[in-house]
Amino acid sequence: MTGVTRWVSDLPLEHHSAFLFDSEEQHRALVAAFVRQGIESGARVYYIAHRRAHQEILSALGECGLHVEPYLASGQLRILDAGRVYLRDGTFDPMALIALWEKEVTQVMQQGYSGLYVTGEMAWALDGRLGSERLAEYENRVQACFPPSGCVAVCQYDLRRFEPDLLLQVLPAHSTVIFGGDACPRGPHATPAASRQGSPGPRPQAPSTHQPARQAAGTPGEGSACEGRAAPAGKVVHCMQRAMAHRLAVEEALARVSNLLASGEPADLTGILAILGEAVCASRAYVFHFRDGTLRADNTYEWCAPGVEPQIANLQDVDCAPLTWWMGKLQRNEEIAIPDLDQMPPEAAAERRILEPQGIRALLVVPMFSRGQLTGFLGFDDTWRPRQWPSEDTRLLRTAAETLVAYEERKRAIEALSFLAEASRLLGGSLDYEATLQSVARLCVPTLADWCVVSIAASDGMPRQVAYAHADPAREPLIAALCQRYTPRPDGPHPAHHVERSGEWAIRSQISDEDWARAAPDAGFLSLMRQLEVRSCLVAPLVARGHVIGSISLASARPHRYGAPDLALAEDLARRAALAIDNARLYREAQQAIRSRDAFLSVAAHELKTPITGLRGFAQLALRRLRREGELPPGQIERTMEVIDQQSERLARLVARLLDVSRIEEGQMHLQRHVTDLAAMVEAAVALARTRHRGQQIVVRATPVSACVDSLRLEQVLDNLLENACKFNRAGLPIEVELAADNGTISLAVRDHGTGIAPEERKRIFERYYATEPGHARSGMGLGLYVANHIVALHGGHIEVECPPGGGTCFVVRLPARLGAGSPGAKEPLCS
Amino acid sequence: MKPRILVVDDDDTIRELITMALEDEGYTIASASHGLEALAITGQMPVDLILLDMRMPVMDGAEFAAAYRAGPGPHAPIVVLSAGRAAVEAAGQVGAVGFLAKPFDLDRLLSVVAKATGRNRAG
Repeated sequence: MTGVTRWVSDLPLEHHSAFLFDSEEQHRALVAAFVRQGIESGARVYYIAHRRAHQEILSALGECGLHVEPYLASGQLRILDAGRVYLRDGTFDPMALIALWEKEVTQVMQQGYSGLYVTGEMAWALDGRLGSERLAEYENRVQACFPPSGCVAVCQYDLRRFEPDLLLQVLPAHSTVIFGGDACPRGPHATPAASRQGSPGPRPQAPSTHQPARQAAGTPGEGSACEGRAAPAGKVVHCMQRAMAHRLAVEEALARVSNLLASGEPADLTGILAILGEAVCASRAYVFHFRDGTLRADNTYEWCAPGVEPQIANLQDVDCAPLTWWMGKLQRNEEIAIPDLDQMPPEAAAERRILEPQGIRALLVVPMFSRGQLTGFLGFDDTWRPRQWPSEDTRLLRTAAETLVAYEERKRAIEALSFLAEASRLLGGSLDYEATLQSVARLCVPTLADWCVVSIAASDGMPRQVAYAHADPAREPLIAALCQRYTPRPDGPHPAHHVERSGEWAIRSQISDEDWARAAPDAGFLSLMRQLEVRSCLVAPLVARGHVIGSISLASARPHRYGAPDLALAEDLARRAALAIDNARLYREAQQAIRSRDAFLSVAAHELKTPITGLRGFAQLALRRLRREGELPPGQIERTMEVIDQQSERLARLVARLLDVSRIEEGQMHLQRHVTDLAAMVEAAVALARTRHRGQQIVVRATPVSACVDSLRLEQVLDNLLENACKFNRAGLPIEVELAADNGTISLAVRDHGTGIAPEERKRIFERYYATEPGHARSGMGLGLYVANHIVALHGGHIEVECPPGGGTCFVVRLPARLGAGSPGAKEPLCS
Repeated sequence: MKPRILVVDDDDTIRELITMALEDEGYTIASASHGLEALAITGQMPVDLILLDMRMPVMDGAEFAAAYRAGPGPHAPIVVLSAGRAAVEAAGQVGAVGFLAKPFDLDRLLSVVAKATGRNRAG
């Protein structure tokens, strides 16, 4: 039995009283006190219920320790329905009802009862039945039909349902008004609104509006009601004023909170909690947010009344998983109202262990839901005393929570938009590859991470860490050391390798020191990770044009840093970053191609100008001598003609090669195959090379073999290889040419005894323009091998470069013996 | 004393042409097909002028110029032989006194050589 009930039992009930209440607890306590008093005084007791089952009333009374079954059986207590008592034929007729009461009073007296106790739930009057508007008339007349002693009528008014205007009309008709369980003080009382105006002045220590104050409970009768027969209306108005003042304070607080949160400006959330907390005279008001996707919560904002100890520092990363009672209520979107910490249900023992050390006596908490997900909760504490939490307070918190969630969603959306706008601006600002990578890394801190590493997949598929940033620039050298010393490996702790292979995201929500210790390849790595404080990380693939080009690794010192909103933002950023990086890379490649083309043009000019120099020079020399001497010696005529022949042929070959390159690039080089005696072809090519390079000794070993090839093109290949061999061969040593057929493969090898080719160059010598790259000592346009390789590939073969023991270079052309199946460029041959 | 001129070019025809043209004018000519050969010659005897092609196998013109200058002096002036505008650039790089852009005119060759060796064409 609560203090309220005891206190009510001591009320001097007048023969027409009103009970005002705004919670079920108050209602129950008042009704129990009334029924007890009636029964104990030997009166007959009528309870007139509105939409409330009899059993419900019995159990409510039972909860207050009042077991009335014997009295029901004896007929001393009767439970009636409002519809049958007040509403005859569905209509309310005050006069008929009063006549009924008069008759009833006479009857119970005749039956030997000491009097008649009647209490009714007046909410029936709100159903809009015919005659309901005559409620005030009834209340004014009913007093007259009850004798001055032994008979009591008590009307129950639920403050949550009745409008103040209607109450002000009917309450003056009652000789006593009992307001909730509250003690109406005798003197002026500071309302919550008044205390707020005085803020931050001293907090009113008097019992607050709805407060079942301890001192009131402990001192029965003292200031316990708006009692007194003389001027009940004045007392009622006072009580009503207080109720309305509270409602007004709540409305005003809500209006201010809504204005602040909807203004579009960043809101001072602690200030908002102050408005809420002061409106209900709480000791603390606070917001908790769950870490995304977890049951761990942080107290993000807190307001404390003056003199109340802050708790925010103690309430970080609170594990709510064991708080099943608490979490269950929140998940079901129920408020948690604890009027008295000492009365908490046994299943909430874990909760109590957390609440008690904070000095909490009473508490009210409502959940916050965003897009169907529980994201946090908003609440009030009272550290001074237990208290009932009226529905007004719950409404205040509920509405504030909804407004706060909307504000946070809007704020997050605006932040994400401005972050992405800034990202686009930065990423679009430069086509420089390195600068773009660095921009991507910079962008991520601190919005998405404490530090970040951008990695690009190299041609071997392994990630290369190419850019990084730390929110604290002083710690960037640590990342530099990490990137230099530890490349993500397939078996290493870093998920970049996996992400870049699979294109899947990787999230690690909670990484402990032990995890690092297990995964670290060595102590240095572990030490770096400890200094960099990584507790959670997110690795996002960079995908451009359908390919994973790299990844961004975001790291945070906070566990569970990455939730759904971060994922969405990181995904958007990764997409933009990938596009920017891809563009910068394409631009760089285009620039390289242009440089390469320019270098080629310069070399091509050199190559073309050399034979022209010979042609012009010999012509001019002959002319000079002819003019000076009048004639030319026969030797010089012959030599001049020879030079003209050789150099013009050289020019023709250069031009043909340039045309070949152009054909290859346009996919227009086609083969004209026919059965060819390869040995004869080799002999002819070698004979030509011998005449061109008189000083060179060329040795041939040719197996007789025929194949269906484009003989002119293949001769061009051999010619080119011989040309290179003669150019690089060391004087005095023979160039060896060998034609062989073996196991379905025809091989044609040309070996020189030159300086050889460095291993790293071997792959690249077939690239177009390779020889023309800056700093390259080889002469020529770098087209010969490119064209040769292409011709061999069209035949379905390939060229190998070997560096045989004893020095020099050996180029081996390998062709399939059954030529004709052909490669895509090969036109159907005449032979098969 | 006839000025001694070293012609360094990987193209046989160009070497032959320059040799014939300059011998007609009374110069003594030595020739090399790349930088390494040229260094061997300058190591054996002093020359008065070096006509140097830039693009050559084994050792190119720039490498030769650097190696030559790094060796004991006195150093002969260098005239760069190269195609087009690259000749101007290369001449600057190797500290040449002049350049001849291929394809060149014989008159131009002779006047550049005469100027670089401090001789009149006729002398």
